[in-house]
Amino acid sequence: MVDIVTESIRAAVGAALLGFLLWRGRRDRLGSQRGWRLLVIGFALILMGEVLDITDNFERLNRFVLIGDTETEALLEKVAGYLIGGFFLFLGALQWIPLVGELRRSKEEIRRHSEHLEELVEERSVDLRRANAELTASKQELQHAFDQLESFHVDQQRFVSRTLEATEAERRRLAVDLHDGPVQKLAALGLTLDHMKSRASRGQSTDELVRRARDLLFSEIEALRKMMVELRPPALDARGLAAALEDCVGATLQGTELEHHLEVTMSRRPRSEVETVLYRITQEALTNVVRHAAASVVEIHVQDDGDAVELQVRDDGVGYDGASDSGRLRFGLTGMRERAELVGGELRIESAVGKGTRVVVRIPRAFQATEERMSA
Amino acid sequence: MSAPARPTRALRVLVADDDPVIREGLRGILHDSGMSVVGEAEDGEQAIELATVLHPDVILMDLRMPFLDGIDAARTVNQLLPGTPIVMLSAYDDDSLQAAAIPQIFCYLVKGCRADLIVEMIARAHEWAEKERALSVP
Repeated sequence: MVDIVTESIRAAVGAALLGFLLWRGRRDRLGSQRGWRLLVIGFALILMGEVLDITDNFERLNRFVLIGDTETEALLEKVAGYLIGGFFLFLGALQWIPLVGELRRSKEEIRRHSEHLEELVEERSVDLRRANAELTASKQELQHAFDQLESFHVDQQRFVSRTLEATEAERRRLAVDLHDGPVQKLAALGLTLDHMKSRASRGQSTDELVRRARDLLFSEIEALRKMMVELRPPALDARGLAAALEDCVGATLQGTELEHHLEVTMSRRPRSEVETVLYRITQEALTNVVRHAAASVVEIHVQDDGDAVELQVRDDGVGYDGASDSGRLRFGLTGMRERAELVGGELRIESAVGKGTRVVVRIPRAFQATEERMSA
Repeated sequence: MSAPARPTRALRVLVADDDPVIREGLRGILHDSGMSVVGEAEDGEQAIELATVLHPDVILMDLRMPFLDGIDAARTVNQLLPGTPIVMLSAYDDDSLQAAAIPQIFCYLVKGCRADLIVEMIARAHEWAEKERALSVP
């Protein structure tokens, strides 16, 4: 009786194991796994052995079993079943176990690869962040350069339009000067000649009128010549800055009581555009002195300092508030500064109320030819 | 163009120009043609003053003058002394449109024209003013 129970328990356990195996096998789809079938067969055989064991105890069932009914035969049945089953199990295990080892190794490898991958990703992230930062910095630099370019462009446009305005203003002034001067006077001359004609036709003396006509004509020739010089002083091109400045100082200060000292010490002639700029700035500065400074002395110095040239116009007059804007507008300072900057120089004005005024212009590289300067 | 009728007395003309040389020249020419220059003004304000005091027959005025421009002076003269014609003189030849706007301005001459043209226009201006006066008398 005990035999049946233990055998039944064993069979049940065996069946459970087999059932479990089959269920997991189906669930995890282990059907294609190596050794799987062998294991199943092994378990099945063993289970069959157990079941046969149980049937031994029932005479009637024994009739359906193929093998004989002596004890030896029964033992042999069992042994055969177990052995064969065990053999299958063994074979199955042989095939199965390496898989387990492989699996463990694979997992280990995967973990290692995963770690390595993370390291790589981290490295790349660092690289990317750095590259991104550099890109952002470049972009900012670019934006800054672009802003500078735009503001420069705006400045340049403003400068061009101011230059055009200045040109037109000069032309307008010239037109007005011509109208107020020579045109009027020549019309008067025409009237005088007509007058002469009518007097002559009546036999009256025309000597006085002739004298007046000549005076008119020659004074107008003089006026036109002055205008011409103002437009473009011939001395500047022909004899150089020193000679032109002498003429300019003489002409501008004529009729005033200003004492003047002019000193031009340069070892060689600067570029012609530099000469022109220095001339015009001096002209403007002197005009300001005559009009606004109420000074007694004005000094003009031009000297070279290495490759640069420096101009100073100094007066001992009333000065003006150098810091205020109104000064710039009234005394044509913006124009003067722009002329200086046009040839690569700079202009500085030092003045204070009651302390006189000093205009200083410094133009570096004043003596090179223009082409040289541009390739430098 | 028919010659203007010779006036029975010398025409009284007021000359206004800021340039003394021009004034002298005009004075000489007008005098030689039998006209009388009753006054000379240097600017627009003076021109109005003298015109209201002297009551000239014709005013000969330069367009561009200081203090009160020729056009503004002409307008004022128009108001104060309607019936006194003005002959406008100028060195520019493109201001005629402005001058045309004022009815009392008889004509507009460009400086440099012949002197006898100035004289003739003054005479015609006077003739025209006389005709206008005759028409407006009720």
